[in-house]
Amino acid sequence: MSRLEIRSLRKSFEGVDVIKGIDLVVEDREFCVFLGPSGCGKSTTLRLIAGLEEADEGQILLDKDDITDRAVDKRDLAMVFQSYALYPHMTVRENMSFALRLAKMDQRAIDEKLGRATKILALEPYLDRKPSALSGGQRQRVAIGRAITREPRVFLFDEPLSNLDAALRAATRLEIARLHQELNATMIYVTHDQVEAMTLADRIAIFNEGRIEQLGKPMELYHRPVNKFVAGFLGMPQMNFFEATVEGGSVKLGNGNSVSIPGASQLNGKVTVGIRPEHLRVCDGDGTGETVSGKLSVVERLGSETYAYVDVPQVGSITVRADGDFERRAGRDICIRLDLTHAHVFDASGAAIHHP
Amino acid sequence: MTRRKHNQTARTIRIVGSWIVALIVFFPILWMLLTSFKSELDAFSMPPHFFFAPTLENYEQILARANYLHYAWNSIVTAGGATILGMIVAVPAAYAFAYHPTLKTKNVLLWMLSTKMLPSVGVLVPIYLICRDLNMLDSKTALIIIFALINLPIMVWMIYTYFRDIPYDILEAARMDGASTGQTMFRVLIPVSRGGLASTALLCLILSWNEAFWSLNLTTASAAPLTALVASFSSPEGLFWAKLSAVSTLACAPILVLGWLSQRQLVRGLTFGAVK
Repeated sequence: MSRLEIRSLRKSFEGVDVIKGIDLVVEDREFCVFLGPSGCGKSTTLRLIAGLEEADEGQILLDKDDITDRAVDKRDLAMVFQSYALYPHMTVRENMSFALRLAKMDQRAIDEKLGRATKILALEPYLDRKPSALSGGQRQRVAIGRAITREPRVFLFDEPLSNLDAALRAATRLEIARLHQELNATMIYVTHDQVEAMTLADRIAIFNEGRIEQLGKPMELYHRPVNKFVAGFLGMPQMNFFEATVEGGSVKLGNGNSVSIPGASQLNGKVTVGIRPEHLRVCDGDGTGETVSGKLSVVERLGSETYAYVDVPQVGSITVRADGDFERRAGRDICIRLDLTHAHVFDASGAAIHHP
Repeated sequence: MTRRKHNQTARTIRIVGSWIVALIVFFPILWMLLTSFKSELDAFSMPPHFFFAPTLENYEQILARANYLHYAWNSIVTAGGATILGMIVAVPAAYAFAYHPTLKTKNVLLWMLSTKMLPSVGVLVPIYLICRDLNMLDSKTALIIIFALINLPIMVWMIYTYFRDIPYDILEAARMDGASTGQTMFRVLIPVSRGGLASTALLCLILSWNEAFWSLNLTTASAAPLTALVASFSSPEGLFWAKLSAVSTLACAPILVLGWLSQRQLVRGLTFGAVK
């Protein structure tokens, strides 16, 4: 059992509040991802859990044990650092067994644990090399291996893939997913990359300015964001937002056009309407009905799909997903069908007041 | 083809240039070595002779007149002792400065360095009096302590710089792996920065070995190191260039050999940050 609970955790550095009260439960064997922009407090929270920083207020519980003030090495946690943080003067074998040797474990037990970890990570050929003789991906595997040999109660990952190139990052991401299934361990993973978060997480905690904005399953967060921040942070390209006034289910846009939002008849007043690029379509007919027109400013062709960025006067820039073989060029006039069936509506404070 | 020729010419010029600079830098040592094998007459002659009948007479006379090994032993003990003492103080100090800085750390570091700007002679009288009252005149212990203290600011600064270049993550990883502060220091930090530590120690050793001001003022016979021996050949009976050169050669030979042997380590230590 390794269930981690955080209660009203607070931390400030030199008078600046960095963590402003965090409550969170990471269940046993759960893969929980802390996702947020840089400076949002996700890494600090991880370091507080690890004990590398001291909490000002609040509690950290590991299976009902209060570990808030416990020394780093007594918490039984292992961390994988962004920079790998391998010991440069030690071989891979020595790196991975350092903690066990410090704990004065007997050689046979060390060899056994080391053998298991090297097998899982396919590190056998590199055991006698120094980190400087390894590639970035291999170094990261050693860093993960160093955590595995410890058999910790919770694994902590601090942006472990940020220093890898794109192809390696995708491969290592899959490896971490496989590892989680194989080890069946509780893992907390910090990242600013939403693809990592969406693909790896059982649950994602979205951090912003020292608070958790929303905690939930990836698709839950994607479909029912509680506020504008979460809605805008998840999804590539970003969700489209435009200011509007609603009255009885009819939305009046900045350029004077009126469109309806199904099922939002009770709303009134100034709002922000949000809709994802995949829920919009370029007009294929004559452009009558609920549409807006603008100038096609940029076209991004990704092969399987194309993103069209359209400047709509008095509304703003709107991104639309189109087919892979979308042929129109930048600079041309274009019209967008504004079907708001899938629109989210946020009030002036940014809180969601309507979901599709 | 012409381009390659041009590159070759440039390369030749660089090599010749480097040799000229190296010779200029090395010349005083070379001249000292040559003079030490001349007779006093050759040593004084103007213009100087590059070709002469070499003689060992200077060395014979020096070894007959003074107990070289006594002075050499004193130099080894004082310079070596000061280096060890200095490292014992400087490594933990630099560790604290580098990894647990406070708002005033920069000021403390600058203040430490500022003590190096004070001319030694300015504190000669108080230190002499302290040594006299503690009954430590002409004692190796006093020299060890003083050498260590005068080199400490430089040592702390150098080690601080090396430590700053070591990613802090590595030390945090060691903490998470269960290492105590001592284990982190001895099993991770010191092995990782050994190049820098070795060059710092060597620098302290060289500076202490060649230190003359305090050696001359605080020792007479029993604790006098090689620098005092050299000085004794330069004064009362007038200048004897050949003998002075011979005794200087004897004085700097051990440290020169040591520097030569450890030059790879030294260069790596001094360029540690640049080539990481």
